Amino acid sequence: MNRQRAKIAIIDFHGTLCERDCFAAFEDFKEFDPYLIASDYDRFPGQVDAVVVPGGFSYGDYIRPGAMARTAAITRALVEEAEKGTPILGICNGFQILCEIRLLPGILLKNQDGRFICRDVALKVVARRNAFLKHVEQDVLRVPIAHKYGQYYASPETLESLKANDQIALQYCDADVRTTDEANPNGSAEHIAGVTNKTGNVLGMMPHPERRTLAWSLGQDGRRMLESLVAFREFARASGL
Amino acid sequence: MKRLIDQILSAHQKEALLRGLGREPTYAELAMVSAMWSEHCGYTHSRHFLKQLPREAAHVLAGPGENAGIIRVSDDLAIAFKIESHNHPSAVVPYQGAATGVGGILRDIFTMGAEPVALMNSLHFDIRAPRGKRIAEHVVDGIADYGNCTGIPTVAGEYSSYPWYVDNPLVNVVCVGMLKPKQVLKASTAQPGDLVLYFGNKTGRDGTGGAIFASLNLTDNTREQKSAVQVADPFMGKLIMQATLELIRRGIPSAMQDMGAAGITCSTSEIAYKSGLGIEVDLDAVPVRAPGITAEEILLSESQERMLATVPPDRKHLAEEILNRYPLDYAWVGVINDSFDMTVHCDGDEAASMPLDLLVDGCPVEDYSSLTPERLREGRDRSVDLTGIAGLTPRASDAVSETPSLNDLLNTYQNTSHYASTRFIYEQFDYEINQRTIGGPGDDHTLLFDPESKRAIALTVHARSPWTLQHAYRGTRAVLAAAFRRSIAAGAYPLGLSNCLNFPSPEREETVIDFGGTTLAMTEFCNTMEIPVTGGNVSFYNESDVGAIAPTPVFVMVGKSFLGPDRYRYTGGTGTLYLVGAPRLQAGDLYAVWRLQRDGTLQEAQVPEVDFEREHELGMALLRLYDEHAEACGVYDVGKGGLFKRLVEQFARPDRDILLAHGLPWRPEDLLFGEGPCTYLVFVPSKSSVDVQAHLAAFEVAEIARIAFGRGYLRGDMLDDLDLKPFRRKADESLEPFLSDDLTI
Repeated sequence: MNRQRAKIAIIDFHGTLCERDCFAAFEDFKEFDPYLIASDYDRFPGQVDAVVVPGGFSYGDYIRPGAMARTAAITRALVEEAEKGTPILGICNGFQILCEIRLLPGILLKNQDGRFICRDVALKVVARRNAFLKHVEQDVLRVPIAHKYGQYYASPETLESLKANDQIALQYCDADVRTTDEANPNGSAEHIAGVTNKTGNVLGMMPHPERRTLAWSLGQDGRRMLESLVAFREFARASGL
Repeated sequence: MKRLIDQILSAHQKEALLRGLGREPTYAELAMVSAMWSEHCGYTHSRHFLKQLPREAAHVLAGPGENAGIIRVSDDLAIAFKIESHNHPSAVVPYQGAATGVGGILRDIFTMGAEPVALMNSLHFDIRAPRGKRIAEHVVDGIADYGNCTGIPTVAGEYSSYPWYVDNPLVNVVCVGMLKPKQVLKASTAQPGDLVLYFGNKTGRDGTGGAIFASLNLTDNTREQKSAVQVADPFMGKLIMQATLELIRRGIPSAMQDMGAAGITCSTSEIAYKSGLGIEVDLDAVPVRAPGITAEEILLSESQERMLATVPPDRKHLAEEILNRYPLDYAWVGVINDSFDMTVHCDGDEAASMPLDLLVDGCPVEDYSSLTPERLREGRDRSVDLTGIAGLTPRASDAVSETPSLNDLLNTYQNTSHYASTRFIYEQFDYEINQRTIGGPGDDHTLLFDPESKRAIALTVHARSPWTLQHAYRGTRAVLAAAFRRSIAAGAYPLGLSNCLNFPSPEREETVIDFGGTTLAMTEFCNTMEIPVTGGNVSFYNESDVGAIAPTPVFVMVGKSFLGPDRYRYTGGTGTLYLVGAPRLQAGDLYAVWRLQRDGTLQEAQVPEVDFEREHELGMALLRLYDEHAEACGVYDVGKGGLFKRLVEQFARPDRDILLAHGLPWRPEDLLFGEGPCTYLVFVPSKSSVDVQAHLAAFEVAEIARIAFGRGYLRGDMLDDLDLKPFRRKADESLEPFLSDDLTI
């Protein structure tokens, strides 16, 4: 049965912090076989079913978050997987890295009030094009954010094309699923908490779903995203893709 | 040379040095001695008292003198923990001072082979002044950046604002680590022939003489000593943490010590001295980043993120193999021998060679045997002598209300920063990373999950300066009891005590009496409760030309909790509240705050008289209650802000009323805002059948209130109906309006 477990590559840069939390989240599923891969490698060992770029402070966020990670050896292999259509999830610093290597549009600026924020937020699931969201039934996910550079910014033209292509995946919202300025913790444009690339297989998000997956976690909404990936794979297998 | 010695050492110290050496010291030797014999490293004024503290217990795996204390929790789990101050650097360069404080305490923990799993802090400012506000903001930012960037959650903390911190903020940081009991690595286990490994950052001029700096009062002159403050590099901190833990896991070093205060001098000499051996150090091999740096500067540099280990020669290549995988510097800088001396080479010459016992242990310490326990218990009379404490300026008051009315108290409660939620601070810390935090900063208890036992480790950090200012001995007893009650409420009997003793200049007699009173109280507490002191830190000289701080001992307790992820949490149901104990307004924090605001003094304020035996018995009874009913009831300590703060923060809901029982034997002021010995609040939800009064039959227990459907009011025959919603809103707004400074640029 082991052969059928999906290989989840979790990229570990120097300064990455959430790799163990991500590992624990995937390891909790019998369907997944997660492994850590150091960013010095220039290719993935064999088959990859999904890639996770976890949060943290890669290279101490020197220059700006994600900027140094872009030069790591693994980056080319990551771009290749993205082009192949492999589901890729970038969380927090992982989102910043995906933006820096241009797999995702836009950029993450310092939070509007200049401070790090660790807080539970509500996320409106706007588009379900990515495998991690496709089979999420809830309209709202409650997961925490923990970042200092999470203010999503893109040019007006880019924002228009994001909307036109259903690339806005997650937005900050309040208890009544309204996207308001009060519910937007960091001043992100269009209240964006997560976006996908044009083809939808690459998802970047500032909040940390991996922190809401384990039996003793404060919630299970993050687990729903991993379950979505399970369902997505089964769907793919059943339809012979 | 002669003049230099006289400038650096006291007459006493100079005599001891010349006698010990039998000759004049070299410059390098004088530099080493100046750091090692500073108050910060030499414990000149504190050693007499500290050596009396109880530190023995079967479960202590490492005690005072090591980098951190370690206690055995089970066969598979040991906890390392320690608290340290970074007060002086934080006063001068708040961001860097606080950040390097976190870096330093992290190193203390992983140096011993423990993986850091949590950070806590105890922060004390005077935020009424713009300068204090700015310091607070930048200190929080510095702690946040270092902790967040290294991936260690900051799970708890406490904050206070009193006038005596106006010029001298206190920044105390705690780190907690987990390890297997057999993984403990000490500094005292080096062997002759072992090679001395230096790794981490290069050595620069930053922080030169920091230990000496920490041993001076803050004056405008010292405040300009920014070069004595170190610069933090959390990314390097994280790398050396990973490298260190990997080296230890692979069994490579024979002993380890981090480079904190007095840098290379302290780490090399202590590792050799504690191992009962000698050491030869070659400064030419030390990686340096400042061109032209002198031998004395290398010896005194406190550049951050540097480690020292001893490695048997046959494991040298294994160490290099591991270190080569990390982008950090390392070098072999010496060798351990059996000479009992420390020899330092520089530019091929011998720059220093002196006996280790003289360098590490030869500093003459003050003898305070004349201060008997009776004298210390008596203390100094604060009500007569408050001079010298910053911000205490008695004002003539109108004398209309000698005791505050309930309304006065409610107004004070509502309009000070003291009882606002600390959310504004803790949200700047990543408190969840690593998924162990099952009781975080917004929760009622601080709990770290241990997946092995499925139960939690409870952490407590606590200080109460108005009590310790009024009377150091009695105040310290009260703080210790309060911290103990917090630990009990979190379901844990404390297994160890760590402390950070923040005091003014020890060159004044009253400070020494206070310090002795505090340590005497600790000794009594530890003996009665059978809790060992596992480590600590002393910070003297917290005073400036404006005045001194109130003596502020900060205590940390760690224990194994009966609570787990399935513990009871109030989520808005109905039920019954029981009060254990008898609170008194004058002993409460709110009374002190009201007095300070109104009269600028602490007159009439009281310190609760605590009985450790009684606290122990009650604590054990409550733990038995938890043991049987952890999922069916909640126990809370009654601390700062009294019962009222608990009601507002834990139980007030817009669709519930809190109905006080009829005929309660207290004035509302005492009941709502008082504090006292053996005081707890217990909540039992309606659907639960826990009989609290039967469990606590030997104690004063009263059914004080019911929580019922309603509109967010506190009602009862002792007061007019009180709408709790504005208080709740105020608490939720948090400290932001008090603290916020513009950081956006």
